[in-house]
Amino acid sequence: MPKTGNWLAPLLVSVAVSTEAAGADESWTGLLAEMCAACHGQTGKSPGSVPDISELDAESMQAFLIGFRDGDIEATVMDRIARALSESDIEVLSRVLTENWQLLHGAPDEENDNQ
Amino acid sequence: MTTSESFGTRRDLLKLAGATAVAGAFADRVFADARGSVVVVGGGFGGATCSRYLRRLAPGLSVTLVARNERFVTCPFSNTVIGGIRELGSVIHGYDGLRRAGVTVVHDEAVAIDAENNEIRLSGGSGDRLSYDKLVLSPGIDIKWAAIDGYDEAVAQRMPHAWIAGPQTRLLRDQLVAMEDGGLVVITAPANPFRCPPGPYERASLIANYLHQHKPRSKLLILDSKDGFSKQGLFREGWERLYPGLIEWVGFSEGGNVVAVEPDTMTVRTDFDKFRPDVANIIPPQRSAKLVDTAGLAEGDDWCSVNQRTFASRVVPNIHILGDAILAGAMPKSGFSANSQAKVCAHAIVSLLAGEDPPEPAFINTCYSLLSAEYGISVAAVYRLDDNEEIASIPGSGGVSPSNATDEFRQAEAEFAAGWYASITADMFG
Repeated sequence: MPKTGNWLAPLLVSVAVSTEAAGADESWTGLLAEMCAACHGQTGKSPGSVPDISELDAESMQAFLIGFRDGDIEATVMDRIARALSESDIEVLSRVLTENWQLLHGAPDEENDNQ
Repeated sequence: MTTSESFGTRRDLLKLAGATAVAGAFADRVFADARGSVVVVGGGFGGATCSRYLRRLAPGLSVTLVARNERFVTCPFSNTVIGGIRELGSVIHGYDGLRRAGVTVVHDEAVAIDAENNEIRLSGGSGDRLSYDKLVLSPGIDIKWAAIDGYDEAVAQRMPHAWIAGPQTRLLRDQLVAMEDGGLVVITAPANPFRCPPGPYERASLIANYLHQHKPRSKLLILDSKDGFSKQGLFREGWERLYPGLIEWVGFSEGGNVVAVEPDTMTVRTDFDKFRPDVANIIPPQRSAKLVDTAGLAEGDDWCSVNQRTFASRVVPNIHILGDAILAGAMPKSGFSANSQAKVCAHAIVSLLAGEDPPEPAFINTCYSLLSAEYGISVAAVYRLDDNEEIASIPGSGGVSPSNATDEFRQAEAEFAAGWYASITADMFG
């Protein structure tokens, strides 16, 4: 099993991650977070028409993803994607994404470098 | 969330992370100690993304991207150019953003891999050889010229494939514009696997859209070397609704398999029949770019096999291969797949260089197809490795857009298709 220590620890140091999630699952979810940029942009704000999710906090994002997954919130494609996610996947994904975007939004110089 | 709260959180997080410079969205995984040189061959969806993410993850890494052309023309959205919805310029991208990210971009063609000496040989424009600690190949496809009798590079000037975007895209567009009303357009589609499985049918849709508006007495015939295709039900539903009677699809069993072309008479031959179209778009069988053969990486097959955890070649482990050139389990050959694989590959390479185990691979693919500027459909999937270390779609997730959806739904997907294009090209090129 891959080591995961380096993966989530620095940003999630103050966050209680579900203890039943296996290390591989956390590692998978952390890497999955990278894939969101293809549609939503690296800061959660797409340069195109994909909904801006850069201002969501972790709780709101979690609620959206659960709503999409369970069919309670209408979607075009996010329902199909969210059905791949477990409860703990959604929790980890929401925290990893929102905390990284907060880092970027608070750091305009670095954000410009990144664009 | 207010700005001040966000700023406070950022400071706290920076303190917690011990970070002084945040170069990207996933600052928690910076490999300051990863050193060495990585050469990436291929300036498209896989290569551009991998170069950019390697630099972001490991600022100490030397990353050189070898891209054949100074500007890259994307295959995604090139069908909108062929259909007259967009200009060619809107699907062309440069490499300045990658240079700003610290990637050394070399415009040249890699002609051979010397795996024994960890070097690649260039065609000569920018120096002879580049040496590497890790080599990433995202070289795309080559056309299998011998597969359809009579179809070669010269004939492609008369009967374009337009399956590698660029001059071929413009050529096909020009032929459609020059065609008289009442003409016949033939598109031939290959057997699986090939680049962009829904692509021939999106192209048929957008050509039909153009004919419907400007040359309404014309017909479009798809001659297919298979009996089913990606998003088939949704395409047929849309064709019926938008362009009734304009598009005819002939599958393999009905005699759709194209075996030969005769350009002098503009003839397309199937197993049982022959057609004389005014415009012939031959989408031929494909294979991984031949560069991989210089190191035996395809092992005599059309496509390369890789370790799907790291994208390391099965033949030479410090060569990683991704994108259309490989077989990647359940993933289709798409730009989004290559982008996703490139990120996984970048994480794997920096982990390996830092002496750590790579993270657990995660992938997403969403392929949008346009049937008109206002009518979009999609197929999506989320992947992880199965027990056999093969990329597999997660059961219960993914799939295609609903059938019989409202006009508003189709329009929303068309808008998101354009949004996806803007986002992913920014993710790749900056």
